[in-house]
Amino acid sequence: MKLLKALRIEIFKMRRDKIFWLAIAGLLGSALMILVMFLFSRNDLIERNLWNMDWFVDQTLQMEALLLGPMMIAIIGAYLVNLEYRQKMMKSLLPLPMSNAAIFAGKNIWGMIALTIGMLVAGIATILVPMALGIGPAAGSSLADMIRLTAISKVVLLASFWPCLAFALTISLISKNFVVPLAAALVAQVGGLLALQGGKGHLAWPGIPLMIYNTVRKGGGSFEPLLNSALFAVGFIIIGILWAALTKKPE
Amino acid sequence: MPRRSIPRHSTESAETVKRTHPEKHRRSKKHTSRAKPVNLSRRYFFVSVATVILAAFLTVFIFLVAALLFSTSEFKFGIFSLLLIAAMATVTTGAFASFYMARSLKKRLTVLTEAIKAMAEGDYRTRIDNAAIRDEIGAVASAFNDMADRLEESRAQEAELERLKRQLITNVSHDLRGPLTSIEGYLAAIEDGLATDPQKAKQYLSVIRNKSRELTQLVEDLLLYSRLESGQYPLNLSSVPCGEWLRETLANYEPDISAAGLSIEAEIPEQTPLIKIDVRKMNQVIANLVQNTIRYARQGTCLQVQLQIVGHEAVLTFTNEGVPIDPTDLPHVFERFYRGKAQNEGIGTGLGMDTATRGGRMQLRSVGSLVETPGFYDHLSGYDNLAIACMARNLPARCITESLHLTNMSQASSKPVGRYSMGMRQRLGISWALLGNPQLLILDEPINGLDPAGVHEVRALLRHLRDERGVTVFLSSHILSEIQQVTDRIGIIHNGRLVAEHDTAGHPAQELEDYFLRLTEGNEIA
Repeated sequence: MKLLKALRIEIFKMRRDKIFWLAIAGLLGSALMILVMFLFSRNDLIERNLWNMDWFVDQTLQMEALLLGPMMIAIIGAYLVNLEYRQKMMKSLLPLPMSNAAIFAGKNIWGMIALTIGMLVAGIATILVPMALGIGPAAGSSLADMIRLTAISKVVLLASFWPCLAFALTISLISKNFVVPLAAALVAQVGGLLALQGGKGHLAWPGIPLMIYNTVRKGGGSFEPLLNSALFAVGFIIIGILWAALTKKPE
Repeated sequence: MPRRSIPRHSTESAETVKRTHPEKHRRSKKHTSRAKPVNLSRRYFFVSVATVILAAFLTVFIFLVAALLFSTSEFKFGIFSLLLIAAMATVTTGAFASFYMARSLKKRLTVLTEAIKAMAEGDYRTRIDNAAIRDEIGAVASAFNDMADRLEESRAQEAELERLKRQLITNVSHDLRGPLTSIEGYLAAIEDGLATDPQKAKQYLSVIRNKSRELTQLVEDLLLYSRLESGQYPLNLSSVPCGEWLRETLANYEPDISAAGLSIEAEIPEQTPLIKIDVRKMNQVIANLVQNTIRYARQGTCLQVQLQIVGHEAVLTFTNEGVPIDPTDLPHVFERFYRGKAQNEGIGTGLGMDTATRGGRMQLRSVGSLVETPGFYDHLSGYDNLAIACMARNLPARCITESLHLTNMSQASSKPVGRYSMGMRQRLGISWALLGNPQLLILDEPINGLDPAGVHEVRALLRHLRDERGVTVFLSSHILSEIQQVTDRIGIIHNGRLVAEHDTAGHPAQELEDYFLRLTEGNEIA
C-alpha cells in the first residue's frame, strides 16, 4: 500500500512536468533523425537497394539503442530525484508519513512506466513514418514482420535501459547536482561501448543497449545479456532502497 | 442503503458517477474545488484551432521537404500522394476532434444529471468521479461532490450519535447485569452459610464492595448523561492551592498506577497560586485521564504530569506512551459517547473525555509544521502541492479547500507555484502546515522575505488561528519586533538551551531586544 501511495504521488506530481515529458518525447527523436537521413540519402539508398522499411526500422532502433535512448534515460533517471533537490522539496517530502524506501521505489517504478509509454509511442512512430512516406517492406519481408521486429526490439531495449535508469536514480540519491548522475549514467554507457570496441568487453557495463540489441536480435536470440542487465538493475535498486531506508527522516 | 443502478457508459468519460464509501471517495479524488476554472468554450475553440493549424503545418512541412529533396519527375507522384495524405489527415483529425469534444461534453453532462437525480432520490453516496478537470463543468462537479460530502457527513453524524446512544443503553444494561449477578451470588452464599470462616466472609464482602463501586460509577455516568442532555452541569467553584491539590489527587492513584505496571512522574512547582476550580469535577477529570492511561498506556512506561502557571491560567499536561490514537479518531476524542477504534472492546460509556472539557479547555495535540523557506513543486499549482501532502497523509480533499481558505489562498491556488510571490509561497507553506487541523502549529521564520503587506497578512492569520480556532502557534524567529507583536509568551534559546521564558505582554520591542542582547552576551545567564 505504501508503495502504491508513493507511485500515485509520483505520477501525480510528474504528470504536468514539461521537462520530464520532453525527455520521454525525445525517444521519438531517433525516428525523426533517421527520417531526415533517409530523405537526404534517397538516391544512394535506392542504388544500394536499401530504400525500404526494413532498413528504416533497423536504423531507427540502432539510433535509439546507441544515442537517444541512453541519453534520455540518463536524463530521466537524474531528473526524477533531482527535481526534489532543485525545488527544495526534500524537507517537505521526507517528513510526510511515507518511508524513504517507498519514495525511491515509487520513482523507479514510475520511471519504468513512463519509459514504457515513451517506447510504445516511439515504436508506433517507427512503423508509421515510413508508411506515411509510402515506403514498404523489403522483398521477402512483410509489414507484420516489421511490427513484430519493432515490438520485440522495443522490449529488449526497454530491459536494457532499466539498469541505466536505476543507476542514475541511485547516484542522484548521493549527489544533489543534476550533472553527476547524468554524467555517471552516460559515462557508464559510452565507456562500455569504447571498452567493447577496444576488445575489452569483459570490462564493459553489462547494460549497453546497442550490444544487447545486437546480441538478442542478430546474435541468434541469446538472452544472456538481458539477464545480466536485469541483475544489474535489481542490484542498483537494492542499493538505492537501502541508501534511502538508512537516510534519517527529519523529525 | 440499497444501491440504485445507473446506466454505465461503455467507454471512459471525463466524469463518472461513483457510489463508494465517502471516505474512500475522498481519498480517491484528490483535488476538487478550483477557484478559477478555465473557460470551456475557449478551451474547445483552442483545441479546434490547434488541430487545424497542426494539420496545416504538417502538410506544408511535408510538402517543402518533398519539394526540396525529390527530383521533378519523382515529385509529381510524391506531391499528389502527400497532398492526399495531408488532406485526409486534416479531415480525419478535425472530425475526430469534433466528435471527441461533442461526445465528451455530452457524457459529462449526462453523468452530472444522473448524479443530481440520484441525490434527489436520496442516494447520498453518489459522487462524480474525476472532478479535477478545470473548466465550468468540472467546477460544478466539484461543487456537487463537496455538497454531497457535507450532506453525507451530516447524515452520518446524526446516525452515529443515534447508534452510540443505543449502544450506551445496551452497554449500561449489560454492565449493570454483571455486577448485580455477582452481588446476588455472593450474598446468597453468605446467607446459605458458605462463608464459614471470617477470612472467607471478608473476601466475599470485598468482592461485593468492589462490584457496588462499579455499579455506583455506572449510575453516576447515567446521571451525568441525563444532566448533559438537560444542559444542567453547574460548576461549584472554590479557590484551592493548585499544586497541593494536584499532589494529593495524584497520590491517591499511585497504587493503581503501580499495580498496572506503570510509573508516574509529576512536575509541580513548589509555589503555586490559588485557582478557582470545582474540586469534585476536577477530581473526576483527573480520574478519567488516569483511567485512560491505565487502560491504554504501554506496560513499563511512565505517566508524566506537569503543572505550569502561564499568565492567569493553570496548564496541566498529561503525557503517556501507548497505542497511538488513530488519526481518524483524533477529531472525535472529546465527543460525547465517542470511543476510539482501539477502545471499543473495553467497558465504558464514552462520556469521560466529554465531561473533562466542561468548564475549562482541554486539547489533544496534533502537530503541523512549516520549515523555513518551504519547498514546493513549481510546475504544480498550489492546490496540487497540497494534494500531494493530503495523499501522503490520507487526508480528505476538503482539508485542502479549508486550509487554503484559512490562509486566503483560494483564489491563487490554481496558479503554478512558480509564479507565486515570496509571500504567497509562505502562506501556502502555512496552508501545508494547517492540513488536518493541527492543534499545535510550529512555524519556523514564517515572515522571512515578506513585504510589509505580507507580514501584516501572516500576522493577522496567526492571530485568527489563535483566537478563533484555538490553535497553539509555536513561532521560531529572529525578528524580535515581530515576536513581540504576535506572541503571548516567549522563550529565548541560546546555544541550544532555553535560557529564559517570559510573558510578552507589556514589554516594548526595544526592551525585548535589549533583554535578548543582555542574555546572549551572558550577563544574565546564571
